[in-house]
Amino acid sequence: MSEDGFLSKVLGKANLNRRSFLKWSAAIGGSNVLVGGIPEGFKHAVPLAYAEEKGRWIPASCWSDCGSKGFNKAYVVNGLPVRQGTDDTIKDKPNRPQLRACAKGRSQRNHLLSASRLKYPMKRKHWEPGGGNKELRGKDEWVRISWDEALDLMAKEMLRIKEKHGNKAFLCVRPGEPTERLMSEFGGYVNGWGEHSGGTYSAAWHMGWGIPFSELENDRLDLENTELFVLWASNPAWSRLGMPMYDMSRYKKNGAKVIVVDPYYSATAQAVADEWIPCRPATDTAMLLGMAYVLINEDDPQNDPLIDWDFLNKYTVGFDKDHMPKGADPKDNFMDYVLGTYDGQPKTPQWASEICGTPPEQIRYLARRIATTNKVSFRMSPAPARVHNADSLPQVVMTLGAMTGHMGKRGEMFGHDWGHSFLAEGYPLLTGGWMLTPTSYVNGKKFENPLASGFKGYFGAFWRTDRFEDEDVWLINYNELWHALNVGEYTAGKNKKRKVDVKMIYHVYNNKMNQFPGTMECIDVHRKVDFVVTQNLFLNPTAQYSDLVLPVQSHWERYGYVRMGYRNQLLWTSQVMKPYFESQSDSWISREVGKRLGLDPDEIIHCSFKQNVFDHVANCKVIKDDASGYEPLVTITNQDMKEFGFEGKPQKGRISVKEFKEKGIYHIERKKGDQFEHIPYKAFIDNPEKNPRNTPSGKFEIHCQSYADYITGCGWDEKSPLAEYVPPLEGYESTFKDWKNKIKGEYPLQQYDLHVLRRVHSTLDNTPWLQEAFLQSFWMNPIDAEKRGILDRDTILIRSKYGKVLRNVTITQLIMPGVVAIGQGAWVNIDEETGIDRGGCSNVLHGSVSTGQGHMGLNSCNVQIEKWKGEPLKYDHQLPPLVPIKEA
Amino acid sequence: MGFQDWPLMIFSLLAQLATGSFVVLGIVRFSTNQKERETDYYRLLDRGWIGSFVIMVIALIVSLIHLGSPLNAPLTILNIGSAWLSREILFGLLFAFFAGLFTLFQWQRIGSRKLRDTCFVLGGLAGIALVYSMSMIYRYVETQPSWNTPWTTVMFFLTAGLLGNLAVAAVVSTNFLSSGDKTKTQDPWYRKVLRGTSIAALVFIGLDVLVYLLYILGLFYGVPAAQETAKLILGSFGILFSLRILFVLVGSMLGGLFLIRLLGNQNQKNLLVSMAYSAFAFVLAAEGISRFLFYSVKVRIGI
Amino acid sequence: MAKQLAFYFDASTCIDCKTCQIACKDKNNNPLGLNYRRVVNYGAGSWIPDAVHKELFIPTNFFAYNVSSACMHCEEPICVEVCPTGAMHKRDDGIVLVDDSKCVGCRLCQQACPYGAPQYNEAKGVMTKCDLCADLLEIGQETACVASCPQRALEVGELADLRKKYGSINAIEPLPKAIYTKPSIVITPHPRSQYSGKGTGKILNPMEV
Repeated sequence: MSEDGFLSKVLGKANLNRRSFLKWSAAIGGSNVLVGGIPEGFKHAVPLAYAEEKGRWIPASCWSDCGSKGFNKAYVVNGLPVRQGTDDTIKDKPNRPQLRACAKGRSQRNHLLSASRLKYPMKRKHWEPGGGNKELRGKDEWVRISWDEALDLMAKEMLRIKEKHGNKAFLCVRPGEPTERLMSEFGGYVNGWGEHSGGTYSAAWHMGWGIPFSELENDRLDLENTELFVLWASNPAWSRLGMPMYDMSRYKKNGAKVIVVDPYYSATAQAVADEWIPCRPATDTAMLLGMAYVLINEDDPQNDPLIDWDFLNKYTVGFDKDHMPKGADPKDNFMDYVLGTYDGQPKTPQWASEICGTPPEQIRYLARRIATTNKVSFRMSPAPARVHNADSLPQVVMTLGAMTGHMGKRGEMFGHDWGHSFLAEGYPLLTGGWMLTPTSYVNGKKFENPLASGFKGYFGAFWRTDRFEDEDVWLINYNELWHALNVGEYTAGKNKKRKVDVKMIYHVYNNKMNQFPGTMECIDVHRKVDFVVTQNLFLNPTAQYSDLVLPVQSHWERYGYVRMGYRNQLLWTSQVMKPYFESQSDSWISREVGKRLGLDPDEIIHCSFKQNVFDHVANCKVIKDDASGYEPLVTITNQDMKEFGFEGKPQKGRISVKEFKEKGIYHIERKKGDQFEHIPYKAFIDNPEKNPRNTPSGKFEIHCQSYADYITGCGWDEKSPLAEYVPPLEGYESTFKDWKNKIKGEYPLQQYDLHVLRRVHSTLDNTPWLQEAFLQSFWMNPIDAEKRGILDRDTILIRSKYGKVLRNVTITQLIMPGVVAIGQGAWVNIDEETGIDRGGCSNVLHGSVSTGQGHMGLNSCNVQIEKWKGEPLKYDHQLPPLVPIKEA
Repeated sequence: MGFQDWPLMIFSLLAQLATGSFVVLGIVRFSTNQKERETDYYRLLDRGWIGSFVIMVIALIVSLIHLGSPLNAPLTILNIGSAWLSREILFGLLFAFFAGLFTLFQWQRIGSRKLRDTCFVLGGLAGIALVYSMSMIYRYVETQPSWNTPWTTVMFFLTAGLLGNLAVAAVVSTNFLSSGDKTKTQDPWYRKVLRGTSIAALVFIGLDVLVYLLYILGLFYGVPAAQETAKLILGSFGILFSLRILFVLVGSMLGGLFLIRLLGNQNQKNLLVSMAYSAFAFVLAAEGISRFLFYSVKVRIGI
Repeated sequence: MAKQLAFYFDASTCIDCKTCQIACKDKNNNPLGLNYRRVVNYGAGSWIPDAVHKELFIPTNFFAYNVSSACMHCEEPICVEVCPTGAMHKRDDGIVLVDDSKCVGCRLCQQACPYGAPQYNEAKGVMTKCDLCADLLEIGQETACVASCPQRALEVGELADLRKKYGSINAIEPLPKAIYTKPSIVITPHPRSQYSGKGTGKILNPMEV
């Protein structure tokens, strides 16, 4: 129920009489409402139009870059999915739960069968070789062209650019394998590097604590032992919807207590928190240091033991001056830093409180509660680490874990809940598919990008500064990417800049204009280069600013897709529908472009997609019953190969090809404390000499020289081997122009990005069902709103140093005063007249800036907000879908 | 909330106007003596009957507009067992039938006086039952606190009586002046009718305002949803609320002036007619606003 | 033969993820604006300056929880009572259904129902509502919403059995009191749930409901 102005309501509803009359006259003319003819019971099983038809259920992929994984299936009638469903292959129970899908996955048919999907290749009307009128990118008209024309002109332009400028003129950022292979064969391309999701955790943990991805957290059944959960900025209700949130609710029901630390009274806090402690974004390091101070200051081994000194001495180096790593300055110890022995600033709760906004008494309470409770699981999401200059954050987190000894034991952990399902809980019990198995496109030959050799793939570029020393390695950090391309040079290490001049940007499998910081500068860059090509399902923002747009097929339109679920599920989804109009697969496009570039297409993609899928299937492995290794999961016979039409060797496994394809999912059942129990670093804790950490000292390095060297080597900031609090760029302190007297500056509010249920990053943003279910909100506290005369649902203007955004505001008590938040991933929609974004894209507010280890700093942003005096903004679901070319 | 229920608004106003004017005309008819019945002017009352009947028929047609599937309309009488809406449709049809029948008899001089009287009484009863059923539809809905009050029935009947009297006064005053004969303007029967209807109208206006204010006050002391409704009416829709009261007062002023001029034996014909029709128009507008607020500005209990 | 089929809802575990809403919408192929099942987020809280550190604001009296509601298939359904044609009717197994062929689209049921269950389908000109996936129940499957919930917050069953299992609470804010229509639902309240009529909060997501 809403209160709109009377006049707008009167004028708005004036249409109804016309509609009613039309309906009435249609009724007189002959009703088209289907009445009778369909048995009462089955009226709603499938839409009326298909009720007479028979269909079948097909496992359907949900492929978005989500923090979760669910199993979807589609009911297909006459080649069209008319309904969706989820996992009902097994009876649901905690030890082997159904992998239920969420609202996003279940909206996919609404998403994929959309008027705004790309149907044909399109060229920008005013493009010419060399760019044509580049200013029109983003506002030009689109002209439909044939595939031949598209591929020919693309190859022609690519050859021209290569001849004139060389391969360093091509930019492809994480384009996915088919394109990687194409561009590598073509001679190479400039790529990006950096950490998207994990913030500063990846390098910190790898280097300081020797923690691989498979050792981030305890398994889900072990966490049933936990007594107290501290969820720090962790909101599984939104970011890990599905099994992880279901587990959290189970733990709560079984008697665990939950404390949530978050600037927002999140959905998770609402559901399960016994206590909620607000803490300003970008200030978590300070609060944690304050907590460490409490423990150090008040610890009394006799009467009030708060610190597990045994743990520290046995398993760590760098905590105090008596336990330093070889070659380190004894003054550089954590304890003295926290006590302020040498810098004169003790990191007391009072000191921390001034920064983080949490009362000192609460900081002290939380520290002591964690220290004195038996089984504590401290789970921080990577969000606080996606803050500028937050390099020390993971160090403090782990140090606290070591101080309290809540590591490597049953029901205890100190760490973060990594996003992706296949990295959750520990080493996988089932492997296969996209992420962790080698590509089956390899035909015996390893491909490498000649301009990044030795740094293959997503993980290849991590934690290595030698990339800067090699003159043939061209990798630009994601955060400064657009700025670097704008000014023509990027940071290639400490005190080192390298000139770069990109002429063509080839966007595949991404929406980087929307999702990398610095969208405004990105638009400028896109209006500078000669040629921009985008391959995508929709005319997303990146595609809108391109010259050539190529329509691709989704996983619903390809033969299949093998993908890991969580630790104990493996999914094999299949083709649901025919390719949408003229859309093609990325592999086909790579081959065709390759041909026209004079390359051998078989060197690029050597086998059919279908064969590729079966290669993956054959390669699926399941853990042996005694946990000693892996063995094949799928039984393949010669009969299968003949029937399905693929090549390979017969093998014995646990499920037949037929059954796996039909069901689409394989589960492993577990029992608490069974042989697959996973407790991170338990082996190290049990026997540190026999199982040292993969660090220079063999222990957890609270003082970590290699980490410091790495960050300093990246070239943006100097880092000490210790955890130190550094006021971040666009943090809390920067909202003041006079910190001492607390006088606010030009951008007095802190803004941060939330992952919302409306979409997965920027995917699914244009899905009507989801737009209706979840508003693209901008959250603001009433105290801040009142000061500015802003009422609920007003249109407001949000300004940062880098850009401006319009939104309809949701005034809510649920967020801390002084803090505002937006759901990240909304598609940018620049109003060309004013330069203001009407879509709500958070990266318009962020600048193309790198700090520390080149991680994303998306939760550090300062803004000012005022009421918008112009035309009010319409809600997204009130706007028509974005259709590239209107057809008659 | 909004204007989407305008067919219902129009239907309820027209139906109440039709029944009100029918009953008022009936009272006029019954209070006429034999001598008065023989005049020409008396026959002009017939126009009133036709008007009443036609307005009711229009009302019924308009009510079909708010239906999503009007072809099923004949089924709406089926649930008289429990649904006031069914009963309303039934009485509406009965009223239209008897009013139409009576109009026909009266116009064509068919049937004895007794027959016509019976027909009229049946129609009148059907009309009263109609207004009562209309109010009960809404009173029955416990989950709409701005409907679920005895004041709803009172307000509906007041509307009927108010619009009926003003309509009759306006129509009769026209008749009064359509005659060129000056002496006829002094005709006691017409003066009696106009006096009676305008006094009655003024009384109804007074009650109308009083009852409406008591109704709003009642909302303020009701459940949270009722209080929210009251706040909306006085707040976001405050202008409409004020206009509603204002129009009624203007109507009463005009009615009062009309009465004074009439009593004062004045003969400014055009002015009197204008006053009569303006009074009717203002009060109709006020009732229209009141009905709009009733249908559209409401907060239901629950979600 | 069932006597009164009903939903069970666990408010202590619902997180307003709207999977139930989407699953229902998908199954019934409903257009935009029509959602048989909706999720409401209800709560309150305020920020008070700390007594000692006056520049800090402390969250006070915060609570929030969710209610997922479709149709209550009430024991005394007011929608059935006000329907002029009898299109709205209650079956022997307790399910309240609309008979398309009789419905005249007067929308009085929509005005009366305190749960927002009957909704008008403009394209069809008739009322539509949750029918407890009668067709799926008939073939031994669960309703779309129950099968979809990632939090396992929903169940369907015989009202008497559900009451035995979970108790008999059937009205928490912002749902109306049970006396109006006697809803057939069993609710496990959230630890901070407020009973209907004793609410101190408000609906926090009105635009999404």
